[in-house]
Amino acid sequence: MLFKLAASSVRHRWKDYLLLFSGLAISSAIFYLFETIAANHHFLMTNGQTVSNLIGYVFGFGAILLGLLTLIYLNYANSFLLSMRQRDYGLFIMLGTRKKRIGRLIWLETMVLGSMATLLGIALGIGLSFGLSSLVINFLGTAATAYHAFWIPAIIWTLVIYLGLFLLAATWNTVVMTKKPVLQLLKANQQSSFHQSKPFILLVELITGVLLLVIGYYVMIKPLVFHQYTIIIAVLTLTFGTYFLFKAVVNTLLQWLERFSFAKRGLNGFTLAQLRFRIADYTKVLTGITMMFAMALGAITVGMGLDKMIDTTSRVSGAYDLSIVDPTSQQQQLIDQLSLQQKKTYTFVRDGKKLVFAANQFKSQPFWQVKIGEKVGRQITDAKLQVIPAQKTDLLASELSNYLGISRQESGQVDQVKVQTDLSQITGSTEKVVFLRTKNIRQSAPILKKLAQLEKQKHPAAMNNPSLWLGDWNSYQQVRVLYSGLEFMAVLLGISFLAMLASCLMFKILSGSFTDIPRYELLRKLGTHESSLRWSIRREIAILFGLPAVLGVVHVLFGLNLFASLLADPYKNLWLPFIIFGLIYLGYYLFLNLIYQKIVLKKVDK
Amino acid sequence: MENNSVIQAHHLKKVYGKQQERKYTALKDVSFSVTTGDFVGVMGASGSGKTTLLNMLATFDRPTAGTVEIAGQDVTQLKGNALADFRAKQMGFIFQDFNLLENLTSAQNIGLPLSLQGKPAKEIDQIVIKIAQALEIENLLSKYPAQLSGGQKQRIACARALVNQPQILFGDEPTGALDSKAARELLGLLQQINQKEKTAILLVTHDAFSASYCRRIIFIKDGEIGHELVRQASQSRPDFYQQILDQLGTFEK
Ligand SMILES: Nc1ncnc2c1ncn2[C@@H]1O[C@H](COP(=O)(O)OP(=O)(O)OP(=O)(O)O)[C@@H](O)[C@H]1O
Ligand SMILES: [Mg+2]
Repeated sequence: MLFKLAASSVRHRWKDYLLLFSGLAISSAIFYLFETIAANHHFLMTNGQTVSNLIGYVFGFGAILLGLLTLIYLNYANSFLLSMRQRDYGLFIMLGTRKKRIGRLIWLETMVLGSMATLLGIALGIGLSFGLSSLVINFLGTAATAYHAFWIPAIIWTLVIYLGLFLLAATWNTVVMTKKPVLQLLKANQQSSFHQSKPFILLVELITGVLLLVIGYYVMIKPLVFHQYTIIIAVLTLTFGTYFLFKAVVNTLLQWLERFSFAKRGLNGFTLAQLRFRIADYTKVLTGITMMFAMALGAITVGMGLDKMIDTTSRVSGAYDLSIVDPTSQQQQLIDQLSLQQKKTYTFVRDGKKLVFAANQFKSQPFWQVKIGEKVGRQITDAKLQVIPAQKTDLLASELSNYLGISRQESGQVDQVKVQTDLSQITGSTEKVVFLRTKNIRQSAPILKKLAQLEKQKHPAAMNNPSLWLGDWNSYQQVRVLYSGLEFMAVLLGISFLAMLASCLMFKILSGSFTDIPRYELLRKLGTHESSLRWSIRREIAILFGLPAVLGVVHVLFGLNLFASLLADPYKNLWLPFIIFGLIYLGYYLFLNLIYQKIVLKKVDK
Repeated sequence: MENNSVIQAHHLKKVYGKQQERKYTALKDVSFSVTTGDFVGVMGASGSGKTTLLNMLATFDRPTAGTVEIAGQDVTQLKGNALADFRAKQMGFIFQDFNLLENLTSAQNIGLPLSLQGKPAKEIDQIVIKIAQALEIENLLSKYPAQLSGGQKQRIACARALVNQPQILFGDEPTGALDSKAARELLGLLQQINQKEKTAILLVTHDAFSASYCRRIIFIKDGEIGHELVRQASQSRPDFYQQILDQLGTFEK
């Protein structure tokens, strides 16, 4: 009987349940998608040892972040569920149902909802992974065979994490529902959480908040002071700083605004009061949202920035993309197709295992190198191209041996590269080497790939040896995998953060909407214009969306500084990710607005 | 008659149920009028259609057929903002429960209709204080509804209903949630307003005691006006109360 009652009330509010259910399913789908990469060591390993370790580490870090976020998210989803069910359960208890039975019902309800959502989420996630698999493979390298959209360890991880968390939630719900006084459950809707804060306390909170934020920002501006602790310190100080700032400033601002005559015009007073009542309860949510907003925006910005850095980073090892010894006619054809920035051709004499260059050819045709930046942490981003003076033969020799020497030592072909003015003592075959620097390594990639392949075939012993270094093309391949991996992860994380953030905000606002229905009904009966009601709702939600956005953007602006070592100029072209992000955020706002109005402003007169 | 009638209801009919649903006729054919300064009670058994009638008079719902004129205007034709403005300017309401917004103070609650009309803040403050003095609720003004008793809340609701000096005040069982002492106070207050301000009052109630404060009582039975009682000038309230009880006795047979 009790089950029937419970089921019927679920049916009655199926829309709210659908919202909750789909939110949970999407969250677990994202988690699954992430795990198909993070939990597939085989796949991560295909890209070579050094890169794989790094990527594995990066994805591990991402998985922890995502897990943390999931925890927060489920917490909000659960409180939404609780707020929906409180009254019903209060009623059951009042009617004399034993608490133990109620407890079991609640436990079961949470678990059923949770496990169904997780299963659906995994199914969705598998579909999503299939859909995105070409994208994933494209981003993470060519190892198509190693990536599996259907990946058992990912399923297991998702199940373990989600079911574990739901188990916690179910137990928590049971305890809350059975321990709370009945009256409190029944009157959950009428309770007002508002209490006026003393000015002194507000001031203390304000100072604490600002101080924490300043510390957080300082740490991010000077990441070298605290090294690896920077991120932890920043996350902690910013989170608490945001919390106190919201608590103090918004409270004060609202109390202050209410004094003005503007507060008595139309529904202004009502909106202010709504916000003031909510702010106390929303401070925590807003803080969470602000942090998620900052991370989502930060991740997407960094991800997009990383993409631009692939070329720069891969080209710090040398000035030339490829070096080709005695190009074949096939290679020559390919070279002609390239759009080149520099093409240098030198001759040398192969004397046994010694390669000897005549120094004078570097006068007419200067050889270039990359000068790495001097500032700690900015070596790569400050790197510059420069000419090696022809008289510095040692420097020339060591730079040339990067391309021709060291990497061929193992195979026993070359053990020394020399540059000297007088070649009369040297005997041996004369060969030609061509150094190529393309205008755009990314655009030339397909041709470079073929060229490099052909060049490697000349050294059968070193065919699969990655240390056969022909030029920046080698680095480009590795960096691209690493950075695309990072980029992919950053964007994926950014989108998950954004999705969960929106969902959290939605749950929180919607769980408040049930108390709002009679309020708006009353306002309408008192003769409020329909348009004013809508305007009031729009404004109220806009403020709840806007506050985290403003503070979140500030966090991001400071936080980007952390990536100065990775991105040449983290602040360049910021508008693009910001606009994309802003549009998505705006979309969420409009969507939530619509739903909220649908729920709260039910039409009465036809 | 025409000039001083506040409400004129002509042949009101209300059928509940949408196209596919089962139809239920809650009101069959109701016509009556309320004059300026009138104090009308609407009585009847549960389910007889009292709330239905009030909702139509108060413009919360539209009749299936018939018209309602308030202050000479056919309100069944009003829509949207015109309807909202009409409510805000001409009518006051007191409901059985949930009258006040719990996130506003009493003063803000009372001033709300004036805010909605865009009155300047200073004027709102003055009017609120004046009306609070008249109803002896000045000490409650800065409190939130959660800090008030049921009776106090209804007095605040009463103040809010009167703040825009409406032509007519509607109440749907405003004493329903009050004990007899608080109910008596509220009714006394309504009577006083009715006499001093000449505000017409229409009160739905199932309780004979509350009804005895009215000047005229309409009995609804099965969606029609079954009977009408008018209190004579010479008649005392207890006497009228007895008459209502007798009427209810015969009515329910
Ligand atoms: N929205 C509705 N849809 C369908 N039927 C309705 C609706 N509202 C009321 N009714 C029906 O109309 C009839 C009159 O209802 P109404 O609420 O007017 O009664 P009432 O006289 O106010 O009763 P009470 O004294 O119990 O409040 C009832 O039989 C009720 O079931
Ligand atoms: Mg009724």
